[in-house]
Amino acid sequence: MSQYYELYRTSTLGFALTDSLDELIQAGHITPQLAIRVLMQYDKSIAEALTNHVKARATIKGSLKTYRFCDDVWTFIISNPNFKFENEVVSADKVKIVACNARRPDEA
Amino acid sequence: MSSLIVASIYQQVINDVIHNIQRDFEDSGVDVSVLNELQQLWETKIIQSRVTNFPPEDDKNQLEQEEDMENSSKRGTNKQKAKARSKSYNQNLSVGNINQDESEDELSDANSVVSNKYPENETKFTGQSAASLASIINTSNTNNMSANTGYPLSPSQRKNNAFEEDYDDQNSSTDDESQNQPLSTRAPQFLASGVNAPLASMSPMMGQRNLDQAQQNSSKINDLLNNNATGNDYMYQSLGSNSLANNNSQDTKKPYLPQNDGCDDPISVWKIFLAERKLKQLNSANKLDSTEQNKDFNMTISQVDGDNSENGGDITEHMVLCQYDKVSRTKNKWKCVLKDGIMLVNGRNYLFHKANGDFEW
Repeated sequence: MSQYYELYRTSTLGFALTDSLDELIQAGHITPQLAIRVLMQYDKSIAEALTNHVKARATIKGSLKTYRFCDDVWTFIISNPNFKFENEVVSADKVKIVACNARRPDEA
Repeated sequence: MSSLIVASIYQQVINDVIHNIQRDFEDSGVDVSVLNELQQLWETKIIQSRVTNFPPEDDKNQLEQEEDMENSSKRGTNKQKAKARSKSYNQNLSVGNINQDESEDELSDANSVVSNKYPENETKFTGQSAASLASIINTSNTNNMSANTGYPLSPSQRKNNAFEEDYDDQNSSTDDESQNQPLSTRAPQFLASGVNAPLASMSPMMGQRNLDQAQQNSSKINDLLNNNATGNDYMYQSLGSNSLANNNSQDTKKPYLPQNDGCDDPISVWKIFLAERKLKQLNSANKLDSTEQNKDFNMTISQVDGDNSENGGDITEHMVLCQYDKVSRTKNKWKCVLKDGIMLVNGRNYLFHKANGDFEW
């Protein structure tokens, strides 16, 4: 299980799960260990779902304000980004992109 | 198109996680009803987050109905009940409160023993929102309070409320029931959602909770923060006792014993994890208030020390979490090949399998 990034825990879905687990822990229904097991399973499930079930492609344009490469993680701050999907365009004033290496170093 | 499939993908992930984690729940002696509760909480939070592109309620309803068909009738009825309730309070309640209603139903059904205990705990529940109220009330119930009120997150509180409601009567409207309950009951709950924000600001202090526990009664704030830790400690005790779900609930009645040693136990890990997350959220919230120029300035500063910015210094409300295949630069032109991304933009979630980024620095 450890070969999956924990990156997606900070997504909306991950936060929702974490909050739910925390409620259960507070109520004394599950142990923190079990909650961590659930999160690890989530890491796996979300990664597989994104890889195997999502087909959408997107294009992102904008001006790069900040870039950072640290510990194999790229972080970009894009101002006035423009997201193009197949049939939809979305824009925002600023977006932060956090990208982990698709090829994990331990795999290579 | 990606936005249209977000909900179904999320549902897949939820089902996959729930399905695959079942073995772990069984191995650790946790009742399956807790797993169902987890699923309901999770789904409800997603619904309430409204991050999917279409009317999330409608879509989710369909998904839930499908699930209900598959699942036991009990679960289905609980959901419907929860929805009905949520509608009735909807205007007053924050997002989280609705969840409790659902979870309560299941919990009470599954663990009648457990539910018996909640009424006592109820006093604690008022916790954050009615912190002052609770502190007045709780003289004899300090431990209970602390267990339930917990985190700046109101979740535990909500849950307590829910438990009580279920316990009192599952079928009658919760409002009527709750009014009969002690001070700590309903009104505070509703407040909780609004009050959470200020409390959340204390999340940075969470790390000190263990130390602070000894001083629980020193101030209301400390009470709130410490409560979370004590709740976890109960859990910790229950771990040692070969925990069944019932055992866990019983353990919550044990006197509170602060644990001040070590930081590597899973409880601490979990607390740290949550604290960091809260800190991130807080920072991002604060950042939104500052001007663009200030943000840029902070970013350049924080770049120098790396990790600081990672902890929220330059977080915006719009995020893309993904993996990169390739990042290249020619002069000031950057090209990125990204994959497997989750985007949160303008309050909506988008997913992509592949994305190309063209940026000018």
